[in-house]
Amino acid sequence: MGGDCLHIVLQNPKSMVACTCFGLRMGDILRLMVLNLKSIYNIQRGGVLVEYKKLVDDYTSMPGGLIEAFHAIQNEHGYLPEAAINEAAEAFKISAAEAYGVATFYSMFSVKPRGKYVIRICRSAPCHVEGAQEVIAALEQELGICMGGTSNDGLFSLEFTECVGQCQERPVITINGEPYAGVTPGDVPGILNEIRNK
Amino acid sequence: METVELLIDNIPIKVPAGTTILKAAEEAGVHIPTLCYLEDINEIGACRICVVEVEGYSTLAAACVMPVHQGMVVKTNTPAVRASRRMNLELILSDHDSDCPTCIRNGNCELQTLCEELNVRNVRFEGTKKHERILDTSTPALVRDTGKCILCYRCVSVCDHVQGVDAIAAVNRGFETTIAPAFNKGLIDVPCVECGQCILTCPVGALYEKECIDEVWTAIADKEKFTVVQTAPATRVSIGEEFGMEPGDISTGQMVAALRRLGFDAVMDTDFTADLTIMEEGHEFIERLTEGGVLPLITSCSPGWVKYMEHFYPEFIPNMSTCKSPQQMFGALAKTFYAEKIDLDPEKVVSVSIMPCTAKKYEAQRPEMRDSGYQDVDYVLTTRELARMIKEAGIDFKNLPEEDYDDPMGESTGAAVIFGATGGVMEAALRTAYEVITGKTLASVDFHDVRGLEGIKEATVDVDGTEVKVAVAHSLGHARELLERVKAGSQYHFIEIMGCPGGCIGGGGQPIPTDTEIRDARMKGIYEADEAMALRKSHDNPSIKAIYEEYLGKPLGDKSHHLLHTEYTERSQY
Repeated sequence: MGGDCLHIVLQNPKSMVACTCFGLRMGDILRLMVLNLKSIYNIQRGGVLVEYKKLVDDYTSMPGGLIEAFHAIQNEHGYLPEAAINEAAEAFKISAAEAYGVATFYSMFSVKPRGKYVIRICRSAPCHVEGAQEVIAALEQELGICMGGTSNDGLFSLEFTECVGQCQERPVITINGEPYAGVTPGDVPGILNEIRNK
Repeated sequence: METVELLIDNIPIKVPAGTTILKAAEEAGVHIPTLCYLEDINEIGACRICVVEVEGYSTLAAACVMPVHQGMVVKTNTPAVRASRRMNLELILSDHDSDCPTCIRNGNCELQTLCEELNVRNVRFEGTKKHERILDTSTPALVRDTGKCILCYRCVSVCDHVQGVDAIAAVNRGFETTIAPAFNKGLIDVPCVECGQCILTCPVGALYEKECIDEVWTAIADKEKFTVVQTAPATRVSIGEEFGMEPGDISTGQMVAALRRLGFDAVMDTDFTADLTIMEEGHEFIERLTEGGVLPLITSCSPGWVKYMEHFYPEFIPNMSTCKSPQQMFGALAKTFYAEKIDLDPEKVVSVSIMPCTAKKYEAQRPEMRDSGYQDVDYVLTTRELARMIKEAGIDFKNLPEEDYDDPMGESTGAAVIFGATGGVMEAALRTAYEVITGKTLASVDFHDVRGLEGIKEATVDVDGTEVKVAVAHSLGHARELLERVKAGSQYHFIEIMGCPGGCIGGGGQPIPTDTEIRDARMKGIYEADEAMALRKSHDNPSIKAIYEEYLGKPLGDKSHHLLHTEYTERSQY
């Protein structure tokens, strides 16, 4: 929904009013716009579809290339926008339903816009017994969001991950793929500030 | 062929290597219950109801996908098998909205039947489904209820493997899985053609037609309204199944009688406008053939096919016959020709159709279908919905005395009734085109090459020295195959395409179950009905001659063009 609205708004600013009817507040829309500065730039050039196509075309001859294409899109845009999934479906000669099925099957792909920094908390057994739940509570409280959500400033999203293979020190979180091992609830404000100050 | 010997419940059996345990058991006369299994369409071992014990295996095996091997010892009725089947049913039930008494499939539900057969008496588990129940009523034809869905994937398979539409797929994973269109949109926003084959394959009530029974009851009860009903060719060989008759039993007379007892003011026949379609489409074909129009000409009776073409093969729009379907021709005439004839304000006419089809509900609401100045067909009831109304009215269908259709749109020929089976429109068109072109009488009206359940049928007909090449496809998967052949250079003059497997006798609005055997039996009924008709060629129908004389003028004339022909819209796939 958010992604759709963003695209509509970008093509026709007057439609922002319509988007608010779908339950999105102006603030949400502005946030989505900030989150997607790169996309905005591309759309304004009329080039975003071309860019999706370029990202996808590199993988069409590869077995299972759809997954790689999705990774390429997500690396560029932070998530898999609807237009990109459609573009990939067409390039791989499959239906949009199937492409969307693949996009939503793998937890590492997101079909919703996300924060600039994606924080993933390990929910496997070793981290669980060493207090992952307390770390989650600290992150949720510090950011004012729940697991699966994105902070109001558009900086952080919270997601779960399975074991990332750093079980020597538990619990483990990753931030944009970088592991932070042995995290305590007390470490959370410091870690977040460090990133905010980047 | 290599064969293997095995024991199933101590019965020795010899089957070809590679046979599944399920098939081998069938050979041995042993019944193994299934739920997600659909032969040749959905063989994925998902539901685990067909589990059996195999000697030497540490776990139970899914009989529908496990191939047999030499010396295999299979047991289908052991404590472990029974416990596992029951538990699997309990797990399915724990995530199923079991509001059975008000469910559209109450009494005709495979899950209900299995629970009864396998003695499930309590559900020990609490559901864990995480998503909210979605009731997708976005299309005019279909309803999708995720609360009832048991994730058997049968609808996904039929939509993809049989129809080649692939409008729905599994979204998300684990407990969050739903079967949904791309981006969780409504079916109206994706290239769903509303053929309803998903409904025929759904074992439960997760997919069904959008009913308009109550609207029709209201119209019948409204003394200000005049209700006109038409019945499609394929409904007369299938509706009896809802009342304990055999598939293919012809119950035209009972259906007419039942419709009168329900209270319809005029009961007429889509077969009449099927004959009219042949006059229009036959002449369109002759015109294109003799005057060099776009060929192959492709039939346009099947609204599922039409929508599929608009989404997936819009380059064939110039090839499409501009003829409306018989349903829509009838609708346009009901509020013009017929209303004038009986001196009735067309605004008071409520036009209802009985169709073997769900896509007809969509077709009736297409914006082009208002040439009478009103919506030409107001309500479309599936064969199933009509049966429900007859049951609700307490009518003893099977024992009704037979009655005849009303004039002036009730008379028809054998050429019209065969519209109900794949190849029928082609055969009916050939019967007329041959005689109109050559001026000779056909020695035999039977064109056997275009009949039957083969996916794509081809024939060459000698029309006074001109070789006319025709092809017939049914199911959209076969339609795609045929159109690809055309694109690759295969040359035909005339192509018939029906959206559903078997044609309308296998339509998405037909009684459940509809399988290959039942399609075959209904098809036999169609050809029996054809043979029993006094007239078998559309152009011989006296009522058709009369409507041209009195009202329409001539085939492809001005009035025909206005009321009986239509146009198509290119639609996107993504």
